[in-house]
Amino acid sequence: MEVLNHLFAGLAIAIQPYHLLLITFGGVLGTIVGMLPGLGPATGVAVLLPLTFSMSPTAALITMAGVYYGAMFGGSRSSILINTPGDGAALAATFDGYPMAMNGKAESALAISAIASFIGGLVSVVFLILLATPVAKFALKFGPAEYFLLMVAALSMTASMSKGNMVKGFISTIFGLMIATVGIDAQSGISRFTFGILELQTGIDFLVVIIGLYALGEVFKAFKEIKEGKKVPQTKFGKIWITKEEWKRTWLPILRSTPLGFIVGALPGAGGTMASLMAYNNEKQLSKDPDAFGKGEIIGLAAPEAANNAASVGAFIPMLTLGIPGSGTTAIMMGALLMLGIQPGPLLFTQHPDVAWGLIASMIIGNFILAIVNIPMAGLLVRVLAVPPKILYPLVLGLAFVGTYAISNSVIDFYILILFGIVGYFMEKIKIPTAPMILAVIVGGTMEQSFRQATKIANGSLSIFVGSPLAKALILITIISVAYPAIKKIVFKMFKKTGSAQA
Amino acid sequence: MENNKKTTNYDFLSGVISVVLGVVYGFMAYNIKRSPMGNPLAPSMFPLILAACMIIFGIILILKSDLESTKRAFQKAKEKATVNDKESQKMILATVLAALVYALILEHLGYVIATFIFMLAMLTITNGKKWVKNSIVALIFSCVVYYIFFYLLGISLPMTPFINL
Repeated sequence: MEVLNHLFAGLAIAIQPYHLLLITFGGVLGTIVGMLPGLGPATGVAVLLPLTFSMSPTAALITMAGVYYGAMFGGSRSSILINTPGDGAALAATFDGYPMAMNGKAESALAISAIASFIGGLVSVVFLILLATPVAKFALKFGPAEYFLLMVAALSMTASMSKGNMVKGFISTIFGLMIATVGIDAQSGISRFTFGILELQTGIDFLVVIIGLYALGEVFKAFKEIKEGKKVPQTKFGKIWITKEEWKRTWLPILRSTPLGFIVGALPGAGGTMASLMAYNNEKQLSKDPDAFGKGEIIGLAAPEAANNAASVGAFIPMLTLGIPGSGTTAIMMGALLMLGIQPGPLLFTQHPDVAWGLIASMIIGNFILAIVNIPMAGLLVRVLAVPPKILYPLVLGLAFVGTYAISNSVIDFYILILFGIVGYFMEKIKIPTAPMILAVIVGGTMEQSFRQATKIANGSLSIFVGSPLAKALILITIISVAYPAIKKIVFKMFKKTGSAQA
Repeated sequence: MENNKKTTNYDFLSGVISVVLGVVYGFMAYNIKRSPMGNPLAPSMFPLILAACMIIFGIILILKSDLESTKRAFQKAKEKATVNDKESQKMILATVLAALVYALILEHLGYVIATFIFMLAMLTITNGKKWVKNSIVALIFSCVVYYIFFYLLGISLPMTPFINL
C-alpha cells in the first residue's frame, strides 16, 4: 500500500525528538490559548508565527497544527469550569459541560471532553490519510479556469456560511480580494493602488493583515472583559476519569459526531463552531431524553467536542490538497508555508511528501500527547485560567508586533498592522464577518492570476469558464452555495407564516 | 415583520461604505496605467470586476436595510454605552497611540528599549499605574523576546544603539 509507506515515512519524521518536542510544545501552547477566553487557535497560530520562520517547513507546520488541535482540546476546559468558551468552537461545550461541573461532576466533564477530542481527532486523521491523496490527484486535473472557479466556489461557500448574512459575507470577501490587488501586478509590472507609497509596491502582506485582525482586533474586543468580574475556576479535582456507565452512553455519539465534524471542517468557511453546534443539535434530536440536554447531559458535551476536533483535522484537506485554506487558522498556516517557500496544493504531496505526511503523522502522535496533557494534567493546566487578562493582552500585542517585524524587517508594516486591528474591531461592531476577508486576502493573488491565465488561453473569451464539465460542476456548486441560505429562508418564512396564522 | 421598527443594525451604513469603496476603488482601477504588452486593460480587469461586485452587494445591502435601523443603532449605542464600553474604547485609542509611538521609536531606540516603553505603556493602560510590577513584566518581556529572536532564532531585530547588543 502506497499510502501506508507514506504514512510510515511520515511517522519516522514525526518521531524525531526535535519534532516530538515541537508537537508537545505546540499542543500545550494550543491548549493554553484555547483555554483562555478571547484567544482562539487563529490568534495562537498568528502570535506563534514568527517562531516558525527559522524552522523547516515540516517543523513549522507540525507546530502550528499542534496549536490548532490543541486549542480544540483546551477550549472546553474554560467552557466547563467557568462557563466561558475558550474559543468559538467550544461554545457548545458550555451547554452541558458547565451544568456538569455545577452538579459536582467536573472530573467526568474534563475527562470525557478530552476523550471525545482524542477519539474525534484520531479517527479524523484516518479519514485525512485516506482522502488526501485521491483529492490531491483529482485536483491535478484542474486548469487555470477550473482553479479560478474552485476558488470562487470556496469563497462563496465561506461567504454564504458566515455569521450574519450572506451579502455582508460577500462584501467582506470582495474587500479581502481588493486588499490582495495592492502592489505591483506580477504580469505587467504596473503598480496598482499603491498611492505612490514605495513600501506598498510589494503589496500588503496577508500575514500582517491576519495578525492585525486576529491578534490586535481580538485584543481590542477583549478589553471590555478586563473590567468585568473574573470568574475563579475550580482547581482542586478528584480523579479525572469517567465511569463505565458514562462511556457506554457516549461512545456512539462520539463516533457519530466525528465524520460529521470532519466533513463540516473540510468545507470552506464552516469550521469548528458550526461542526460542534451541529453535532450537539444532532445528538439532542437523536436522544430519547432531549430534555436532559442543557442540564448536564454528558452526551451533550462529548458529541460537540469530538466534532470540533474532527473539524480541525478536516480543515487541512482543502489547505493541503487544493491550496485553498478553509478556515482562518489554516489560512495562517498556509501563509507561513508560503513564506517558507512551500506552495500547498495538489503538488505538495508529490513534491514535498515529507511535509505533508510528516504533518499527518504528527497529528496521530499529537493526539496521544494531548490526551495525556489534558487528562492527568488537567488540574495543573487550568491554573493558567488564573492569569489575569490585563497582563496577558499586552503580551499578545507585544508578540504580534515582534512577529510583524520579523516578517518584513520594517516598521511600515506596523502601521498596516494597527490599521487592520482597527478595521477588525469595527467590522465586528458593524457585524461584518472577518473570516471571508482573510481567505480572500490569501487566495486573491492566485485567483487573479488564474483568471488571467485562463482568459489568455481562451484569447480573451470568457467561454473557457463554462467549457469543461468540471467547470460546469464548480459553477453549479457556487450557485447552490449562494442559493442555499435563500432557499432555507423562504422555507423558513413559509413555515413561520403558517405558524403565525395558527397563533 | 411587525417588530421591524425595533431592529437596530449598521447595515445601511455598511452598504453605503461598500458602495463608496467600490466606486473609489473602481475609479482607481480604471486609471491604472495601461499595460504596454498584451491586452492593455489586463491589469485593470480583475479590479474592475471586484469594484462592480462591491457596488452591487453594497446596493443590495442598502435595499435590504433601512436608514432608521442604523440611526436607532447609533442612538442605542450612545444611550446604552456602559462605563465598561467607554473604558474599553479609551483603552483601544490609547493602545493605538502607544503602537504608533512604538512604530516611530523602534528603529531609533532599538528593540529592547522601544519594546520596554511600549509594554510599560500597554500594561499601564490595562493594569493601572502599578509601576514596579509593570516595569518588571515589560523588562522581562523585551529582554526575553529579544534573546529568543536574536540569539536562538537568528531573526534580526533593531539593535540597541551605543552598546550594539
